[in-house]
Amino acid sequence: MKLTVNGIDRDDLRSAPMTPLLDVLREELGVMSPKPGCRSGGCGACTVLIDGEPRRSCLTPLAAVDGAAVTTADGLGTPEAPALVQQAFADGHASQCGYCTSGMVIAAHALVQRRGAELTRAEIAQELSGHVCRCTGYVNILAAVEQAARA
Amino acid sequence: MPQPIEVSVPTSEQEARALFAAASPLPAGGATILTPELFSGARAASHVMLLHRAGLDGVRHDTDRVTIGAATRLSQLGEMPEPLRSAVAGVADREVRAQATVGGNICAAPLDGAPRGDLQGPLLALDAVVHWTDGAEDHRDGMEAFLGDGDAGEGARGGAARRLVLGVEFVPPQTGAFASLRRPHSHGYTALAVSAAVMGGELRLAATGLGPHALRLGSADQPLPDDATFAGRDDALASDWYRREMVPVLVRRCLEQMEATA
Repeated sequence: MKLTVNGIDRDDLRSAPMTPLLDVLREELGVMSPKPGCRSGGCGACTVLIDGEPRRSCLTPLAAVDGAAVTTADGLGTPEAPALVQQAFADGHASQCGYCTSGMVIAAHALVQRRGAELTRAEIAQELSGHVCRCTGYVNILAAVEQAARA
Repeated sequence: MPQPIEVSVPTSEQEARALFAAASPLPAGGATILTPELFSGARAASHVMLLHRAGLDGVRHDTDRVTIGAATRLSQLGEMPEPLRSAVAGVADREVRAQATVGGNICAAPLDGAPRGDLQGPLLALDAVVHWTDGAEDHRDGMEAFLGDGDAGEGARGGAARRLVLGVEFVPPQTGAFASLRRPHSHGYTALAVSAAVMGGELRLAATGLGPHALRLGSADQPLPDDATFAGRDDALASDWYRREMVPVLVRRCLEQMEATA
């Protein structure tokens, strides 16, 4: 099985077919930005883009995404040229402990791509409701996503 | 993982049926429940069949009925009548709804005795029919019989001889409504929800959260089933007492919604 992860082709993956994508990324490929949290889809910390769509990597078996393009938070941009949402998170101090941040950034990036400047604060809250920040940093997160949507 | 798992990805319904008949693999739609269970060792399987390419997805609206393929993602359902529409909107979040399937939801086994199939209640209220095969022949069961046949697909006919769900269909109701205990974000299961639908002049009520799978409720005046069929349920989200108290409240909210939209 194979994946394209952050633009790099990864052929001949060794992980078993039902291995969660999260573990393929972290354990086999060393891509550590998707975080293991609840491991049942409830916290959103493991969210990645699969062919451009945000998905929980802890719920997704490798066999279901064979051949797909996977983008993680560290593949969205670079420190020199971060993605809009990443820059907005940095500008607005939208992460506290940071554990949820990569999942939040991926979900927010997909949301901004999909809805752009039409996004309202209420809609952002609703759309990110499956992502949990246990530091209760929601206000800065919402403001950062709003900033990215207006950019 | 404790043992190697064979994985098959059929590319047509015919191929899925043939594989199921020959090898009885464990069917998985979006695999949102199965993947973490296999990984944690909570569940074992030697052969899994992923159905995302089997052509079992899609929604068909005919004049007299709605037919939904088993591998239809919750996000693909589009405009559905109540109580199904609100129940779908309340399942986890957009990302999970884009992966989880209708077939997986109605077959979801309970977690620690709590139901994980949020669509079981609405489909029970809608008097839906489940189309499934045991590999040898096709069957059409009402939701009540389907759910009553073991724990949502894992008992009786569902145990050694598992069921491959192909789809579900229902007649659009005259009116319907859905009311649930509000919870701020995703949880593994619904604490309590009531679904209501008027079908051919009859009010049908169902509840999710009273037991391991959805239950048909009684009348609007006396909705709770008797204790012989309803054991009660205490957990961290709600006590048995609270659930019993809230069922009539949620029924009333459903009736008010239906009256407001009549």
